[in-house]
Amino acid sequence: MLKYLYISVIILICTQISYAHKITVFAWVEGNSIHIESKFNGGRKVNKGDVSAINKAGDIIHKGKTNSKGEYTFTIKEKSPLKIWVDAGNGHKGYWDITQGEFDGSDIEPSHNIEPVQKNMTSEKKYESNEIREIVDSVVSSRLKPIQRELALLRKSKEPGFQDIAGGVGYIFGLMGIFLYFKYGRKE
Amino acid sequence: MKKIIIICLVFSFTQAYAHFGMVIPSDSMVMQHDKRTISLNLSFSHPFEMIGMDLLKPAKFSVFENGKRKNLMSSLKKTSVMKHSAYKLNYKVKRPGVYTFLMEPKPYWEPSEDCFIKHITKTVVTAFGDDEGWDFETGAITEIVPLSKPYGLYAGNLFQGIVKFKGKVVPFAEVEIEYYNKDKKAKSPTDYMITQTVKADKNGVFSYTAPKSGWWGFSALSTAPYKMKYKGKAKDVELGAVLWVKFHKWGSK
Repeated sequence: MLKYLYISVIILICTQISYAHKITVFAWVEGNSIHIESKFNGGRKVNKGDVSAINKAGDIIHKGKTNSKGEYTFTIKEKSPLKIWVDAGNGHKGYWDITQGEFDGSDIEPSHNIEPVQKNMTSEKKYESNEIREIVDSVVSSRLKPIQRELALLRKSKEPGFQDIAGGVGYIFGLMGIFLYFKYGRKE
Repeated sequence: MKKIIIICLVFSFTQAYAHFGMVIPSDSMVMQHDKRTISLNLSFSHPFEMIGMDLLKPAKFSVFENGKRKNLMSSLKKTSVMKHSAYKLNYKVKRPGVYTFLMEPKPYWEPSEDCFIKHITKTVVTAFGDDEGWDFETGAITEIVPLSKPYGLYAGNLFQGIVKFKGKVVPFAEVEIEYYNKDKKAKSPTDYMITQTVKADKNGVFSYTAPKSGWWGFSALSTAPYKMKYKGKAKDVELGAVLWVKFHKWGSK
């Protein structure tokens, strides 16, 4: 029983470590070279981490090992997108995507978050007049909601709050001050 | 009679709100598949009430990239925030790192407070998984040094920082906090709740839990050890150490 408990604790600790030691990988293109930097969370460099460069087809086109500074450089023959993995073992790994734009120098922002435009986007559905009325009503009512809310608030705020009263009193005092200044201020 | 006049004039300016220098980036955590050019808006306002004030071109605007200062003044372009003069720039994040953006504005004369106001404002952006140096001290005359990472926070997380003046902690410093009510949806039940205030402990450490996701400004105010002249008279200069932090909804960026 105690044995299982020990094993469970060890597994738990290992899991914690693997999360705490996530690897940050950064890679960039310079001419025909790919430069790689890697480190653990907290800044410790990945020493002798396994580097693999994978092309779009999923083939490993290059393998290597990081130096003591967590760095690695290699040359490429073909300028096409790559996924660069650095693996330090025990589940500690991370990757960096090199896009086509980085090779071309076109500096295109990564665009894979944008959904591709689908063909046949135009809908063939025909709407009945009452359906159109319902759609228009719902859109107009949703657009009017903020205005209605503002109007309701305006109605509610007819009663002066503390700040309004204080401000009003302030302005009266201010005007009195200016009046008194002109009336008596110069004599003193 | 003069005393009465002065009292009257002082009372005439009771409607004072908290001012905040603002530096708001389009993204506080740039991941490898995000847009790598972030835009930053620099402004001066009452952020909860969305009342803008004119921001003159700052005296300095810099980024500390992994501790190294880079002058960004030449990249600033005029824009408008809350219908008032403001500045903006685009900044391309090229490498992993923690980027601290710091605005040092020109002192602004505030007649209602009879003093100059200078809010030294910063925000922290992290990129591509890097995580070191988020508590970097810029060396500004006054600043809030975060004790919690100033990014990657969920609404409801506790945020802590240390108020410093000339590099030394400010015991029991007062810190004003406001929510950037960008969509104007937030309403405060009373005026007391527009600006929230906490005091630091004897070590200058303050704590605050943001109740809602969005940008929150923390501003520690102090009086400068020097005075500036306004119409020939020496006036106080209020220095603000302002830090803007984004709190996120649970489970979304």
